[in-house]
Amino acid sequence: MADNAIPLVVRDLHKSFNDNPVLEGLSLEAHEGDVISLIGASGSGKSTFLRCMNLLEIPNAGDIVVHGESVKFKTRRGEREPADWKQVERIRARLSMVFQGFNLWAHMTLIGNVIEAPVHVLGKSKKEAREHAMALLERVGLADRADYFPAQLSGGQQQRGAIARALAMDPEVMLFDEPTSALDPELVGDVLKVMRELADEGRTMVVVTHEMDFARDVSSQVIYLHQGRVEEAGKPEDVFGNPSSERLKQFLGPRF
Amino acid sequence: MEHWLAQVAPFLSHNTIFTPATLAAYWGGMVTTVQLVFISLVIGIVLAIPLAIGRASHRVWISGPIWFYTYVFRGTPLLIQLYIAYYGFAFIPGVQQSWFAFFINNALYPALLSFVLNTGAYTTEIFYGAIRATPRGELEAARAYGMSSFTAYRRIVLPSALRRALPAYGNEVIFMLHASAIASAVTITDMTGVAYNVYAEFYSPFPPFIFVACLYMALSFGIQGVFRLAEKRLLRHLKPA
Repeated sequence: MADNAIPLVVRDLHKSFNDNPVLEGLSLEAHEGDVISLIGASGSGKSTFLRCMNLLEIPNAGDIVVHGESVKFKTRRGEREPADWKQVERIRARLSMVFQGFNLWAHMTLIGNVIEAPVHVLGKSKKEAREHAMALLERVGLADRADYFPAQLSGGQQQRGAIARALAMDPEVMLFDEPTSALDPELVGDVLKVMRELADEGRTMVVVTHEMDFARDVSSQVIYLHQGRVEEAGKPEDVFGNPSSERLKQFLGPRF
Repeated sequence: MEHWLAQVAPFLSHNTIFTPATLAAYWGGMVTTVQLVFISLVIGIVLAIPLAIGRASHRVWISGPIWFYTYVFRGTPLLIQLYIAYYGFAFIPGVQQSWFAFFINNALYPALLSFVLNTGAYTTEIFYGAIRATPRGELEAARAYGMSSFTAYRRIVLPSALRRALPAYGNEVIFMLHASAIASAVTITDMTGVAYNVYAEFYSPFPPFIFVACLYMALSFGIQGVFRLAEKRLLRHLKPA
């Protein structure tokens, strides 16, 4: 398949912090409708990998290609950096991210959060953005909370609101960075339910997660990272059902 | 009660506060004080917002000079700054013949200059602190959604920081109101200046000084009320439901 038909291609990504290598040659291809789960222990580099995809971290080497558009880099004073920040902003707007800590803008109401980027980044009209936003809040079950401020919502509500904010961008790929890790156990279910629905309707998603049930049941592909390298990757039934790596077996524990 | 009133009556009959002439003078002083403080604060805030943004810059050639400015003006007494502006500039040779003469011929201008630079320095630091306290994640979300630095500042960082700075800035306003009393040291008849004149005329310290103290208190009370209302409105997002 030609590159420009694939929503997100990442090739041979390297990243180190102060000479500590964190990512050592990671690649990934997210095709239309793929749900790719990144699993691994803390410090395995999965969050950094995800954050490189929308350039929140700048990889030291490797390519990021969104629907055929390759992120351009240059080297300045020995540091690699994007050659064109406008391009980075454009690409970021096509890959919405959902954060572990929600990161809703605290001084805006929930609906304000949802319409913010569509209006001020994509240049949509307020009216259009509001209508879309209300429909999305309805979807995630928060229509009656539209005028609440984030601090007035529970963690689960905030995260579902953050998902609505991500959806409002009509993203080509959604990046989830441990979306349920900061939630009380009884609130995790609501968020996972919304994510399952998104997967079912064919959203392209890359998900860093510790929710193994979600990774097994929902993903089309699972990548197990260990110390910045892919230790094992494949279809969930293979990765969970028949792991070949000893480390992965240990990581998964006796349940799988 | 009657006995008490009879005792107080002589004092009231030749008091120095409630004569029409002094009341008019107090009113004039209050107008001067309010104008001086208000104009200083408005210019100070206009100055402080860009300076605070610059102070938060990681480029040292931008943040360094701003740090130096706030350090100097917060590190020295306002009275000294006022004296330098009022007495100092007048000593520059040839200044009387230059276009700058208007500045030294009216004490209001040196007072305004020193007040503006002083409140500007404090306000810069207040806003800078608030900008630095922007939750990292909120800024990260702004970037992740494709906002440019400019848009992120305009839509996320500043609205959130200026709200957060509101209580501290309210203190600065009250502080400035009280500090403005030293304008009377350079011939300006603000509230304190009027009180001093009344005292000097009648040689009676308590009534005029206590009266203007009450006026300052009333103004402070009003300012606090305005800020309380503003905080209630603009900081409601920080309150749980």
